[in-house]
Amino acid sequence: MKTKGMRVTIPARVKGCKSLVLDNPVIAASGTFGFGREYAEYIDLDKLGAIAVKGLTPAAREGNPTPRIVETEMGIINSIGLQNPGIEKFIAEEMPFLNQYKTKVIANISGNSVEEFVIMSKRLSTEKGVDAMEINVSCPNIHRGGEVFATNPEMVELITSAVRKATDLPIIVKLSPNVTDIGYIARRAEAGGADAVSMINTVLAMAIDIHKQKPVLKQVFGGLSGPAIKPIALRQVWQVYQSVNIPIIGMGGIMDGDDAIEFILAGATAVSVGTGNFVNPTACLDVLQGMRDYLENHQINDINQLIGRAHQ
Amino acid sequence: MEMEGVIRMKKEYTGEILYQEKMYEGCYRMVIKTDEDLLRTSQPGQFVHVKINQTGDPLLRRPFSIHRIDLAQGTISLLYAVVGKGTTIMALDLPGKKVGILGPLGTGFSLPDTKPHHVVLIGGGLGAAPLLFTAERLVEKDIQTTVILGYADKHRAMLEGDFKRLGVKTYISTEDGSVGNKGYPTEVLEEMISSEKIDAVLTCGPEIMMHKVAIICEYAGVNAWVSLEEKMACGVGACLGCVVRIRDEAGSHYEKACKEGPVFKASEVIFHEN
Repeated sequence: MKTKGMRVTIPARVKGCKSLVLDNPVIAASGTFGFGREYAEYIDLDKLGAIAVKGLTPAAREGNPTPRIVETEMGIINSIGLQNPGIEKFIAEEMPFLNQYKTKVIANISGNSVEEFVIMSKRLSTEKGVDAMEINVSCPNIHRGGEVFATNPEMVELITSAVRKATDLPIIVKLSPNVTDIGYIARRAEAGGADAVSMINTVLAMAIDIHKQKPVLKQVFGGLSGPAIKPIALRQVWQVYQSVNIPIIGMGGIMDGDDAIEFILAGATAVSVGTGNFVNPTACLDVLQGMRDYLENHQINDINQLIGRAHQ
Repeated sequence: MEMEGVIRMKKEYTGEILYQEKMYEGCYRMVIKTDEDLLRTSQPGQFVHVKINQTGDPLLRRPFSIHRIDLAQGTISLLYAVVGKGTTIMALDLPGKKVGILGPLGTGFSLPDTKPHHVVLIGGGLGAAPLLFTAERLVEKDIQTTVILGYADKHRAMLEGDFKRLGVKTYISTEDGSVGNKGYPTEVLEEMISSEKIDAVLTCGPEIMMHKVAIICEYAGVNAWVSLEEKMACGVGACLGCVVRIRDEAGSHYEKACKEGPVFKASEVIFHEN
């Protein structure tokens, strides 16, 4: 059975807590898929492994001033600034829509303090249909919070352990690539009780308009995503695979099935498609089909057999 | 699964470039043969998001307003100027090349509930692109239509013949006066609005021009709509890259140029100050 061969699991590490079982390893990356509505017009959301929803904050955020996006060589730099309706509006208006589907929902949360992460985790844990928490310690766009947490190993562990006490849902810590030793930070997330890490978030970058002789983005810096960062993401997934024993959700410039297989071979258990969705609304399912084709062509029965195989 | 409001899945259509017409140096009209579904559902002011190369470079699609729909020929036309990597590649494209098209996308021009007697279209430079499709539809509905086009100079003045062929009263302005009225198209509008009855104004062009149109219409009490151009990635409402400031009771909020726009009510848009 093909579906069986694509099922992947992020097992609960703590007794009494929940595991995350995905029918297939393809996840729509947070911030690139809204709350699924826009893409439901193009694809059957039930065919996705999971949807990581747009990053949530305790209160609504309007986001950064424009320009907030610029295309560069094989990539996009964005500084959207976590524009989102806030957690309560998400629960009231977006969860009923998502609950029409059986696809797993990963709630991505960003806080400016440990308390905010805890409050959001508790609130979301009581909501029917939220299947996992993704802790955004790595969003490079926010001046307060995100950037500081992700580069500070103690804070990453502190937030993770605080969230661990607040929820029985699987905890995924989303790692920033903008650090000196990502393997060490992953270990601290693991020590804090993370069930998995997702990586990589965007790479801090900028572009300059030579005609205006000014930075293109209003916020000057933004996060680079897309094929341009794939080799960086792969290298870091490789490093983290050698550093921790928890599953990795790999992402960074995945555009097709072959890209996804590279991440699995480097050690990822599942993959996320982000910028690819902006290019093709069907990108997630194209990636999934490409992965199936690869397994078929290489006569491999189960995707799990490929995880980290390039290390052997 | 039966979903509320979703009748059938949207998809990417394939287009084949039939030919390109050079309007002036660095400006082209691309005529693409494509799916009837796309052509039949397109409304004036909407846009298409075009994947120029299948190689993945450039990475993102390029948004273009719908310049013309020809149901008999089965074609869509796009009017563009060479401004970057994407359009540079397009200008070199030969007939027969396949492109991927998402669309029609966004919210186009809307007209007052009661049938208007007289609609004025005002375009600056490439902003004239969506107005041809718009004029065609207005003429079909038997609505009196006037078009005012502004260009830098004679060299760049285009589309006069296309509009006249529709039987639309056409005014041309150039900044240097090398053809038509010397000055800006907004000056023509200003004069017209004080002497003629106008029910609606639809505009597309440089933001400074659209802002001026918004002010003129606000002052005259005439409904106006503007078609905004913003940098965008996805074109479907997910990336939140293309947001524009829209007035509301509480002050203002962001709306997406790709979804709620690109056409907005002129009086609600907060234009960029720079």
